[in-house]
Amino acid sequence: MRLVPCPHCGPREAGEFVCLGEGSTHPVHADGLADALYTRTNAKGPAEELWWHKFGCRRWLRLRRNSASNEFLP
Amino acid sequence: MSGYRLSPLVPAETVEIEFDGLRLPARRGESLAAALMANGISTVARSFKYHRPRGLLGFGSWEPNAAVETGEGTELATNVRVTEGLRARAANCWPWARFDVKSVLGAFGALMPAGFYYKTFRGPGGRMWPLFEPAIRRAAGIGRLPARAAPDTVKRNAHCDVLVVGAGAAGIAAALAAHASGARVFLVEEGDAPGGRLLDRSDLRVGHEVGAVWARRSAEEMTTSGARVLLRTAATGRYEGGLVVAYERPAGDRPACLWKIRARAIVLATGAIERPLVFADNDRPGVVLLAAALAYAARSRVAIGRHAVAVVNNDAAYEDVMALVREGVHVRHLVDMRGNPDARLAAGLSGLGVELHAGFAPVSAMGCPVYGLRIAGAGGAYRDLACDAVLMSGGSTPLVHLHSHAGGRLRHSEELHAFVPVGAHDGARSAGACNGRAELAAALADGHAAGSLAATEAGLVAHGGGAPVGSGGTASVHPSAGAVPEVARGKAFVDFAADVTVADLRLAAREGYDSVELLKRYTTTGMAVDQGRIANLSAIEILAQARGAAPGDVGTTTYRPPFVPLPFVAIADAGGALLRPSRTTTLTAWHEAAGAVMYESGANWRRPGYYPRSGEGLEAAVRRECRAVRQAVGIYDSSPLGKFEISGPDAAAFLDFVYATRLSDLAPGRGRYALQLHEDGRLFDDGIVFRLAPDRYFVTTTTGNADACHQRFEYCRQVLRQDLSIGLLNVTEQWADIVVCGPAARQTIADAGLPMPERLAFLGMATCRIAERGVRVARAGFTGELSFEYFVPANAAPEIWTRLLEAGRRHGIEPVGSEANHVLRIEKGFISVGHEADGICGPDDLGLSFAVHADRPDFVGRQALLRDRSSPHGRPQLVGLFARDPGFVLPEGAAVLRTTGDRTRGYVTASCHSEAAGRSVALALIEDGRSLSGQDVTLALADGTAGARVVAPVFYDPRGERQRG
Ligand SMILES: [Zn+2]
Repeated sequence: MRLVPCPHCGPREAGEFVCLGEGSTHPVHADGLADALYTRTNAKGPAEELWWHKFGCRRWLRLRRNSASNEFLP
Repeated sequence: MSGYRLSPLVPAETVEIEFDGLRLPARRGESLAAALMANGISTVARSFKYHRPRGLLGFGSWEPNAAVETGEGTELATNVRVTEGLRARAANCWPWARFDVKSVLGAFGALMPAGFYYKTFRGPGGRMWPLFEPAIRRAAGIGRLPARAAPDTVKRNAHCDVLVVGAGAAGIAAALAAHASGARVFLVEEGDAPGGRLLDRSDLRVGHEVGAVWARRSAEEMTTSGARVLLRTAATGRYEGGLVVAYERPAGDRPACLWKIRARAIVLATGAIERPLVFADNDRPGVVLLAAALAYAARSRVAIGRHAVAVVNNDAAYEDVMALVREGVHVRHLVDMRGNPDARLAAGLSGLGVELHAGFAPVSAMGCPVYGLRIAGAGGAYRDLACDAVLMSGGSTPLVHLHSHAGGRLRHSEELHAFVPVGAHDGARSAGACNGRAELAAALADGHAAGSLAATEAGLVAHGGGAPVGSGGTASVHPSAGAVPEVARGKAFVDFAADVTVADLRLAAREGYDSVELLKRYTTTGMAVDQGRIANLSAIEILAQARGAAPGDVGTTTYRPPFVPLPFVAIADAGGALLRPSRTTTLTAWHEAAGAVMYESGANWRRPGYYPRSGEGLEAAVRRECRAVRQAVGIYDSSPLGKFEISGPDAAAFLDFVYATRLSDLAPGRGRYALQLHEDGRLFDDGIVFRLAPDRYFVTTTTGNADACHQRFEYCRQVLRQDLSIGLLNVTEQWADIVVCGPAARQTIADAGLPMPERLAFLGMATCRIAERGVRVARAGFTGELSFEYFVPANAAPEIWTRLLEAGRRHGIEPVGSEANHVLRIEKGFISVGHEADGICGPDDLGLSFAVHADRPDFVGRQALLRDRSSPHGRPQLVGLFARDPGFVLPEGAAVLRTTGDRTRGYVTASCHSEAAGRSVALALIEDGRSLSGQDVTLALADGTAGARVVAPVFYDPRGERQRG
């Protein structure tokens, strides 16, 4: 299982985390609402993602991961 | 086959075992396979599909045929150790391998071509599957489940700098290099002793020592100085992030162990196995892999036969044949499929009395067990060679599986006629035979280099020393060609374990299954216990021949764990309570003692469904419990409800953001029914939020969403609204929740001597003390009756629960389970998240607009909610349904149509018989449902239709006077 680098707890197994991908945004305007709600970049390659260390420090983390190689980037 | 022992049994080490009803002497600790061979048992199994008699083909985990049952499950005979009183039987036959009733299937082999089952039973025109399935399933599969539960497997986690898989020459060289660099080293080896092929070949030397001695001494010295060497431990899978799973079968009585080893760097030195040759009846007992015959002779001191024939296509096999002769096994002929043999090797052979037939290909094995081999020369000249064993060497297949598991790439090597790893992958590098470097000196150098690199990768400084120097074993393993002659005829097996012949594969290719993944699925090649180790390369070669392509272009199938068969018990628990622990409240023991039928409900909570009295069924019990609540008093355990404490200067602003309901104007001591929305405006969760103090709220959520709410609260707090300063605690399990409801609730509480604030209004909350414990009491509930909810410290619940029950006895109190709760909430039209809030409905759809305060600048879901209002048509809306027949309870989930033949307009979300309404009632979500009020609709049922009338979704006390009481 992939190790997730939690800055607070150190490397921990991915099963301790919830991955929210690019995260859910909070739209504050009606303009572009559909994009804000449903469109995600889903980039192949480096991507910034939100992870919740559910069974650990319970902190939400912004981590960079290469979605093609599944490696976490510094 | 006439196997025998090369060293006689000594009485002190002799035990008696039983195999297929035969009593046999065996050596304690040797493999069952060796014991069978030593006793001249040639037929040890029946094949999977045709039930052909089969002998041993391989050694260790590379054995495709010899599955046996030992009473602890099905195992390979090569992996079963002889102990006193061992009883085993061949797995895939009845009654015994030597005489199997189903073997008549073999006679019909021509009637069972590739894709036989599919074509006959499932494909176009094949409608017989339901008829034949039970019989086919009984005939398929290998082995039976053991009668008793498997012994437990220990599970261990380990961390190290460098993990080396395989303790052959390359693996030990790698471990030594990493160890000398100061790395914490784990070395895992599937065999009983370190050395790998060094154990079979006394002519192989490392430095000034015999190779096997060097291997043992090195392993011992590394162990003494802190490295961990695990023998009898097979690495079964490699996963990303440097994780390797290994299965240890310790000698003696220690239980088996599943290791999860996390390493900074990995060296894969898994070696190679020999490829069988493809010729007619190559599966007859007595036809074995040359390397296996050598291993049985050298390691187990058992000879495969008294006069063997070897058939080879590479130089290294000559050295193995010579080693075998030196071990005392008589090899009469060596058939080289190539025309001009190496003169030095040929001279070595004739010095040992082995007759060489160069330029001949094997045609067919004769006899069963084998008594001869027919070979054919270039001009078509046949020779029949008498023998009692045929030893095959079709080239070396590097074991690249662990490299591939986590995503490592492969390339096809023209020299090896096999696939080899491309570079390192995710911190794992291959070395030695699995990396295409099988010759001893090359393997040692490759291993040393890999070990040094691994140490560097693990953050250490590589020790500068040189690689161990090997001598002997210089002949090349490169085969002249693949293992499949162009003209193989008859039943020439490619996959022994899955019973697939060369004819099957060629037929499949002709029928268009010409990609390697399709071929695998259509013919089942490579899908049996050996995971294609034996068959894959030959199958790829056959496909390449059929397509006129290069094997490298055909490619290989994806390798997946487990690399060697793994008992289920090793990866799964036996199914005890810890497999999926259920959550209990502090009242669960009481519910069980009271005879409640317990349900596993949301979020793994075990809760009472209903409390049947003797002789009472579900319906009667539910009716009685409902009646108590409506007419007297009921009590239920609502402890699984999600509970959160939110505090701090911005607690009110935070809840105003998270909830669609305004909560900042709530007075302390008051509660409000509140909704959480998704950002897309759909309902996410509901519950009552109480304000305890200006800066302190007590929030309840649904049971099933408690975890999701926690995640969301943290998300809002940490990501969306970092400007707000709040404290957030999940107190779900700290507070038990006892609800007393019904007209006699107030009297029951008074009789129980529990405090009840005088002026506690509907949705009010007050704190008080019971037996020195702080308690929160609220006027809330889910039944529509006068209702008091006691939030009490979890461990205080049993005492308070009992007091209430005793006091309520003369008022007719009943404990109420979730079934009755379901009925009570339907009668009131209260929505239940998961039933009515289905992820599609918004608050207005469910008639909950009263709980949305959109006249505020911002909250989660506001933008989508505002936009939704511009298009109010076509929304699913919550309505009630009266079935035309008041005694008929509409099935939950039934589709709702306007008239017969209409499209689906919605579905029944909840349905029950209501005693309060005196008839069956249902809730449904129907497109524009509120506009259909008073009209008739049709319900599509599994067996016909039913009529119903659309009504308001509340069937009891529509003005809510009773709960406000
Ligand atoms: Zn953490």
